[in-house]
Amino acid sequence: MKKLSSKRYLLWAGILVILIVLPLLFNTAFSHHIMTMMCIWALLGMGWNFIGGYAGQISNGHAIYYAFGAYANAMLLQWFNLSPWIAMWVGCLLSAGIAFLIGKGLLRFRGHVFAIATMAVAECVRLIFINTKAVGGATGVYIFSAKLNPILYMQFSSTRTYVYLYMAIVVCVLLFVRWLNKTKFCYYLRAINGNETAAESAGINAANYKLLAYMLSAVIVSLAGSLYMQFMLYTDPSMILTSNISMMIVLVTVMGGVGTVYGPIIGAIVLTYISEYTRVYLSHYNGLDMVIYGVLVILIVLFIPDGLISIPGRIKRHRERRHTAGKEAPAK
Amino acid sequence: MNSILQVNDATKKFSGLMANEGITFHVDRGEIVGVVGPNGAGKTTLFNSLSGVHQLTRGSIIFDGTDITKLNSHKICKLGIGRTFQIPQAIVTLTVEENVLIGALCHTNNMKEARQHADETIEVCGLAALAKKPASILNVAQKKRLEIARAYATDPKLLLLDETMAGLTATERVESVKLIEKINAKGVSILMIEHNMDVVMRVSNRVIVLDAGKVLAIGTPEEVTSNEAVINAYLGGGKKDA
Ligand SMILES: Nc1ncnc2c1ncn2[C@@H]1O[C@H](COP(=O)(O)OP(=O)(O)O)[C@@H](O)[C@H]1O
Ligand SMILES: [Mg+2]
Repeated sequence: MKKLSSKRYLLWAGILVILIVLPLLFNTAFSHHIMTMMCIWALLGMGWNFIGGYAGQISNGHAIYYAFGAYANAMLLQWFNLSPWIAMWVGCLLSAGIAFLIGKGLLRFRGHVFAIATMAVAECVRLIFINTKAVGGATGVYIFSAKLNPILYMQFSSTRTYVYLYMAIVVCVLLFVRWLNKTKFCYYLRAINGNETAAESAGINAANYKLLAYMLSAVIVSLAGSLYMQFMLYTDPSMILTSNISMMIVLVTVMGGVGTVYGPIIGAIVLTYISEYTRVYLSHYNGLDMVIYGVLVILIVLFIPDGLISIPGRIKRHRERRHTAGKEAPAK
Repeated sequence: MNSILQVNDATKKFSGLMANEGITFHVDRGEIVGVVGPNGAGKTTLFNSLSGVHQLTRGSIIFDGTDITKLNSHKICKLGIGRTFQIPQAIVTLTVEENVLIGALCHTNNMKEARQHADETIEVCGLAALAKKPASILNVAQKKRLEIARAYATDPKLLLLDETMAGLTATERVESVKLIEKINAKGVSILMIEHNMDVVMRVSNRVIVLDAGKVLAIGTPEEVTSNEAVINAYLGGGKKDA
């Protein structure tokens, strides 16, 4: 391991302090709600990024893993009184298993076909949930109980506890992604994305690696679902299993910067902020919030196709160009 | 067991078209074997069968004592056949260095080890000055060189080179020949498709002449150039062109 330079060390220390201070500074339930949702969307983006970003297979149905995570917590609690601290890992395993089956079937398709196929599967899963009484059908599930131990059952009374816990989880996943980013696994995924023929000829079993990426992304998205469940303490298919959610998962990553370590986090922060504020402040003009939200997203995707994370690099390149242009001008 | 590659009766049919028919030959260890033939003779098709891009319709391929007839690309690469593509397949999302790294990761999970191996390969292949550049900005000659570098980085026992000199200038060709001889000197057997007759005749130990999917002649460069069928069908035409 390389030692962090003092400048970087300061940067990280600064970020840590901000993370600790922010929930205290903005100490309202609404602010905490936004921060919690940012964490959840960051996880969703980081998860999707493995299959959609690194491996380049655009999945349009990742809401199902979000739902599996959420419902795993709810149902295991209702049926077996299982603590969410354990249930969320069961949800991850379940999602990995289902991702294995779906991936085996669908990953042979590329591009639009894969995107549409994953969308279709997600729609089927939604219909199954809506029509299954055992998981609450269209009315969904509700898990709050004052009788449960708040710490053992992750039902905290203070919204700030959620913020801190979820931030810590995001940091852990981020450290994992940062490490993975430099390993053979991620280089292989990038190679498959860039040129599958070349990758295969260089000894890469593309089908296996894509399947692994798909399963890993399902696991992280499932974890986000479990956390969402514990925060809301209630969910139904219309909240969690819609094509809207699947699309938002794609958007968070695309907007932040596809195939990058920090892109999904940046995308999550910006998108959550925009969507929550437009929702709260503009919702009395029917639908206006969605319009503004949509336009903002279109503008960003249109003018910054490499995502928000590419902005500093763009500015730097722009300055350099102006700089060199200024120097060359007198010579001509 | 002396030959690294033994191909028997290799036949490949594309919905009615016989791209390869009854091709039998071998490559000895340490040998450079040239493959020549007019466009559409089935040379690339043969390479695709050897490297597992597609499977033979009939026949068998034995590589280093293993039957690889039915194996996939990535497995064949792992066993020790590296290949380049006639139309360069650079991984355009990666840098030159990373392209070679992908090859170097074939036999190790250790990034440090792989990076070192990639660096050495880049040096040998004369790409050091371009190492940090995105592969997408390379010109044809550089892309062909990158193809060789990535394939060579997988530590092959046999390297399949598909027209790595097409489109190169005379100077670039000389460089390329030097590189191929350097790789061969490290003990890598080479099977190379090449249109430039000077090059083929100079570097090859033996030459296979394909025509319309079949073997027209196999032998040393001298034997092949004096073969009447070859003169009529291919060399004669080629000389007239030049
Ligand atoms: N995948 C394929 N499907 C159908 N026909 C093919 C395919 N690949 C090659 N062919 C045909 O096989 C013949 C031999 O092609 P190829 O092996 O590329 O020739 P060469 O490399 O000697 O120029 C050509 O007629 C070509 O059109
Ligand atoms: Mg060819």
